[in-house]
Amino acid sequence: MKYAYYLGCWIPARVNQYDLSTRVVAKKLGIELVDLEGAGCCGTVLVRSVNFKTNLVMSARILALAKNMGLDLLVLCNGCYESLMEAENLVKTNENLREQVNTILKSTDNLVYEGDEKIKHLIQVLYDDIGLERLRDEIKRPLDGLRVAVHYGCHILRPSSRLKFDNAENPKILDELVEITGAKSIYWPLKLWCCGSPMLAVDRNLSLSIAGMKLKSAKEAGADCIVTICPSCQIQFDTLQPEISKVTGEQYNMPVLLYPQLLGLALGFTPEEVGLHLNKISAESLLKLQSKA
Amino acid sequence: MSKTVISPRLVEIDSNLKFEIANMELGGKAFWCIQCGMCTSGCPVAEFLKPHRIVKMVMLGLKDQLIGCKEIWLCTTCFTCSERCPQEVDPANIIFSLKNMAAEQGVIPKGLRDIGKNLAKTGRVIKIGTVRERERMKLGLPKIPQVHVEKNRKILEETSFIKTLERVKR
Repeated sequence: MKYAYYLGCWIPARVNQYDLSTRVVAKKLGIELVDLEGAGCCGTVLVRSVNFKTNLVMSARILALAKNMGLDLLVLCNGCYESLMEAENLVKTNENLREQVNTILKSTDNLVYEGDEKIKHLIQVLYDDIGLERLRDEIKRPLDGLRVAVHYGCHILRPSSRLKFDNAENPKILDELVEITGAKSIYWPLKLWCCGSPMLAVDRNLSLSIAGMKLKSAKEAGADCIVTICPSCQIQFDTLQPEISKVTGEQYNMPVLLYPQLLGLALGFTPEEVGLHLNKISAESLLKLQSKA
Repeated sequence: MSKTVISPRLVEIDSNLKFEIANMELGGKAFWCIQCGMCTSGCPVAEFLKPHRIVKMVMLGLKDQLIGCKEIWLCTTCFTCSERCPQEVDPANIIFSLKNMAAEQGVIPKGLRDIGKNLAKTGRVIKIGTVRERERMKLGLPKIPQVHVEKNRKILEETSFIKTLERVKR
């Protein structure tokens, strides 16, 4: 099982533990990751807000680079996933745009992109290509009794007509992946809400207060931690949690783990090996729950 | 694109706006909207931004108000409105199109302008500091793949991103 591996911007810039824990887990499961060289930003919704075509061409370029490697593309970031999926849709369905994109790609890299690169988020690879059964067999130290507030993040779910990930109103993939570790995915009212991250650069206080509402919702539902699969959501809930407290005046003490960190622990890796020490909010309290077996 | 000025002149109407938006590549069909409010009921920033009102304003042709307003930039791009709209209006993409029109006229929030400048300089939306490079080395992670900054910049130029970024509303 071999993939072109695309990190995007936020992971190397802020969330190296996502890369670290993914590589550790992938190696264990026999997933080979080949770094995608030469790729910059996917464009993201931030660039789309200013100029949608810039976003489109940047994403198409990444798809073209991956296609030239002859490998399916594995991404960790929801923002990249959304951006690449939207680009794939537009290139395939809009001939006029496809031509415009290729005129530019030819002039920059002598690249052509006609569509059909397969884009997979890490958790799709775990769910579809590895499978729950295999994962269940690999669990060494189950996280029994851990109450997890699962947060999908918007840009993996919506719009489901174009992203084709899961039922956007009642998704199950990440919940099932969390429960495979022995943890319990709890109901929390604001589960499917946005974390507020995309407008952090426009209105910081409003963005953080949305994240605050979500943290409060998770806490009130009795969560021991939040589990994310997107670097932007992770930054919002974990890195910025102290700042959120300043905005809302509330304390959350809510550990936030990236899914491969949670899975890695259950597979028997040490907290250090999955980069738990790089998370802002200490997750020490969770480790006590873990069986020593 | 002719502007119809109603008299007495309370406000300028651009009756072509709904078509202009519908013909933009991102689409968004304001004229299918039945004003049910499903979009706004699920919007995380509904207190400030009401998607069904934005769509109505597009129908009415209130272009100047839309392009000058702060609200469209508060969209979190969560796509809940587009997911739930029973009429497939796609309010999120309408808002993207409006933001693109506003940016064309030089209206871009400072935060996004800064991100754009970073992108032009580094090929990434955020600078990766040497601290992170060292952190990766300590963790035993491979070097961050190189970005072709010049090639990225060319994309930004060819799609008029740089020009848009330099435009400031008079």
